[in-house]
Amino acid sequence: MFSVSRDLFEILSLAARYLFLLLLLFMVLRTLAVLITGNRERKDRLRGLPGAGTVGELIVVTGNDDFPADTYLPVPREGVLGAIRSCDLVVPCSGVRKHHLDFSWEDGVGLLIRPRRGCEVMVNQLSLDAHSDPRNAPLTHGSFLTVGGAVLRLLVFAALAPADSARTEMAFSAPAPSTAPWIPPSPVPVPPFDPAVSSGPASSSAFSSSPDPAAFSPVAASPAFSSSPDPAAFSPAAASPASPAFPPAPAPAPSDSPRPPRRADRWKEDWSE
Amino acid sequence: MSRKRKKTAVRGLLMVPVLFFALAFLLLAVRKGDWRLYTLAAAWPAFYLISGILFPVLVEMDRILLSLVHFFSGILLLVTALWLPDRLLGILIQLAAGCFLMLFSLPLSSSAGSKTSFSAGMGIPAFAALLLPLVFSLPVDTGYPACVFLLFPLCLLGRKRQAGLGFLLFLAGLAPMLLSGNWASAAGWALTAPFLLWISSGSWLAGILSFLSGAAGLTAGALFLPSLAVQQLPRLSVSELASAFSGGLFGSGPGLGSSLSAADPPAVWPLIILSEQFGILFLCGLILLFAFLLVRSASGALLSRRELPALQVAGLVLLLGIRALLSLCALSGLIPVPASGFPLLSADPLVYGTDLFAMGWIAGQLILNDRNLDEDERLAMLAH
Repeated sequence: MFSVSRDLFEILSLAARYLFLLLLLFMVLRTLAVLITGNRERKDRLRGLPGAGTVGELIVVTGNDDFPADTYLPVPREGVLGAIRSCDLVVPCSGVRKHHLDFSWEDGVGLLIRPRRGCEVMVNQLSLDAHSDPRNAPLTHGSFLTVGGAVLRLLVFAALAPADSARTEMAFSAPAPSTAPWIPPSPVPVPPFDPAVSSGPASSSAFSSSPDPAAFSPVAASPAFSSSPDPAAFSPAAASPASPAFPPAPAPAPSDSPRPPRRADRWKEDWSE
Repeated sequence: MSRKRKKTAVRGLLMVPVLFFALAFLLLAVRKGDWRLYTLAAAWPAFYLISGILFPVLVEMDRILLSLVHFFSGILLLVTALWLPDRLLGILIQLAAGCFLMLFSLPLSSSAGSKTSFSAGMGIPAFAALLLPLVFSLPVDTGYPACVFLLFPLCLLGRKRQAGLGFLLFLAGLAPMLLSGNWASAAGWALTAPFLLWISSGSWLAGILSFLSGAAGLTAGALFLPSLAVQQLPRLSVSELASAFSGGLFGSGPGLGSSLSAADPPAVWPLIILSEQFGILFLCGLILLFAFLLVRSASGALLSRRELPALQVAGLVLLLGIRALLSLCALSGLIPVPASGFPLLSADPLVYGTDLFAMGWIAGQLILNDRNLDEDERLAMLAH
């Protein structure tokens, strides 16, 4: 078949080595560009999905000063719960070991809890240890988990909650309608506008409404919750009569305005452990 | 980046290697008028283009991973054509088998990768992997496939927090490799397994014990067992090292000169040929591409939502990285280690098949990660 002389081939080969190097360089740059772009796109997608990779949230019912009630922890599909910050779920309460339990989500069943050796937990008043079968007491939507001195309640995203457990447990019960006659509120007198007083940026806040913290609550912002939660629904009184007695939730002080829930997985970097 | 620019970037990733291989095989073909090389000049770029378009559509395979794996396969074909054209048919069969293994492991990874129960599907390969290094008569490297297949039960044991059993499995895997004199694979196993055992089981003790046992085993094996070694991988001689760097930065030119002996080529002969004829800069570019491949593969572990598949992918990436490092150390002569083949550039069919199997497994996990994200977006859309 067609071939060239050795001298011509030598010239072609010497020239081609630069061409091949150039093509390889081009390929390296293109690969890098596609990698960086793909990474950026993924980050953008994840930013629009705050609940991505999680199956729900654990709401703190009873905690301590460092871990107050109404704190919520996003629950990944599987991981470790413990007291140290390298765990997937950090519960810094007394009685919670560094690595206290392993958990994993199973579709159609719930969150399976596997305590580590020497650790004990309670799922809806049922005690579990390292030798217990986790399938006997899966954590489902609305269930309570007692770990050390902390009591947590699991809220599962509506699309993931098993059909039977989510509907029967009534974790999100609507508040009972009031029977008292409705009295319209008395009009609040609005002070007259005084241009001399309203000067500077501080006074401009009067015209702008401060954002409502509740609007940014993780529960309200979660994409797939079936209904907005009612804090009263977390109390054991709201549970169905058939369910076992749960530990009492702390009653909110009547004079305090409701605190915005705090997300408990954003820790300051601390390598002391 | 807009969708149009992204399409352009991905198209560039596909068309540039096609042009590269078309020109390279054509250049070699006009050297001697070899009809096989003229056929390759048309066939390989066509296969590259068709598979680059079809595989991502049919099996949702990651484009970058596919492009890079095929690029390295093409490079292996190219160096074989450059130096050992009589082995072209064998290499082509090897590439085809590797491609089949990659497509086989892809759905296996997506569906079975996260199963956390012991089964025959896990036990048989593990048992075979323990016995493989002891089969001395095979003229192939059995240590690396043994490492890969032992990785899966090791990750499973670690995931089940069975650190003690994991440590025993580590020792059981290390011993046959040392006895058979497969130092490179033993080194890879001794570095990868303790790290995985520590991460998966959370047991510092198991990890440290494994690392110390591996180090002790490698040292003792090097000192006391050379006489028992049958599959000892030879180190590069001075002349082989010299030929690797004789081409300088830009190389002597494809198809020009080769002082490497064809009688008993070392395991890293593709790297030596590339370095000599295409230049050290070209080799550095290839290493960079391989690094991108590892980064892409590692993202499969980092973004996985399940621990077990993440461990499996992390272990495979570690093994590939350590093998690459050992190859480069042997090639540079900096560290006196036995020369093992560079990943994806090995003429050993068993090793190449294992590499492609590992790539398919990693690609399957990348597919699963993308599907999980799509599912989350769909659920979010339904909720709104």
